[in-house]
Amino acid sequence: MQNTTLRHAARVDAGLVSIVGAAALGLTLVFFAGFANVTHDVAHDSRHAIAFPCH
Amino acid sequence: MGKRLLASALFAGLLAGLVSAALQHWMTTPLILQAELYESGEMVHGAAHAHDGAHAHEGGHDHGAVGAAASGHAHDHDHGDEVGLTERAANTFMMTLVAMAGFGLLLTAGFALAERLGAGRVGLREGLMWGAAGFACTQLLTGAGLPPELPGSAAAPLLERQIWWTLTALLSAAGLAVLAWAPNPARWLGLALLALPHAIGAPHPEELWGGAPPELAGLFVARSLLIGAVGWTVLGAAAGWLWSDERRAA
Repeated sequence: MQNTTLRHAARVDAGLVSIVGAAALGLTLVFFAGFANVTHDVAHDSRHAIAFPCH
Repeated sequence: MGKRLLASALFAGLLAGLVSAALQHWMTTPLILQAELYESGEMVHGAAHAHDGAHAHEGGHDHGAVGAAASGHAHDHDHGDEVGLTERAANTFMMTLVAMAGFGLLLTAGFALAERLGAGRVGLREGLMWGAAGFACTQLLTGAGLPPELPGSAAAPLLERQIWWTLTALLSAAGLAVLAWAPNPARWLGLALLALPHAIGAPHPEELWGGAPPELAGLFVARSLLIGAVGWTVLGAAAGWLWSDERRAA
């Protein structure tokens, strides 16, 4: 019983971790494509076309 | 679950990114290049009209006047700096792929979270709805305050616009989620969340001094929204389909 609960808890956490991980990676990619100063020059035309604030 | 999440998000992002980037290359990049001629002063709004027309007709282009003018200028650039333009196009392709992969990851994380919270399974049809919501949050609602801009447009300081854009995208996502899933009387609060950033108002410059003709800017806004709608539709449908298909196989 206790074992089952523990295993269940571990699975729930693994699920949450991958959701949070995917969201964090997604936000990072969007940040670099749309907002970061270091990527401004390569991302310029793409930012204008996607309507991220630019310049 | 982690692998399935990453795989559906990244494949969908890649597909939507390729479609968006190809459409951008065809429909919006020529307008950006043309607007830069106005930004640099190489062309002047008003004086440019006659020149454009003559140029287009001499070249014997038989498509629309603006398209002809745009491709004419792109060719001018090509002769001058072909390597630069090719590299620039490659950069644009790459960064659009990165953006769509990022949006794909956020969308798929949303699928997984919604399923965990008991909002029902996500498949192709639900994916389309999620894609439409993503388009609304990152293009339509943000664009109602800060429309897609050509280079050289008058604009408020960058940081203020980035903050408003981020705030609007987040509040819009929260507003749509509340509208979709909150119990009945409370769900209408979602409308208030959607309206809030527009009640605050997007940052705009005190004076307008954009160099590019408004005709060009209008065309750019419409094309940019069209590409956004197509890109998010592909992203949502592909992510939803991949997510559900892999789920059945698992």
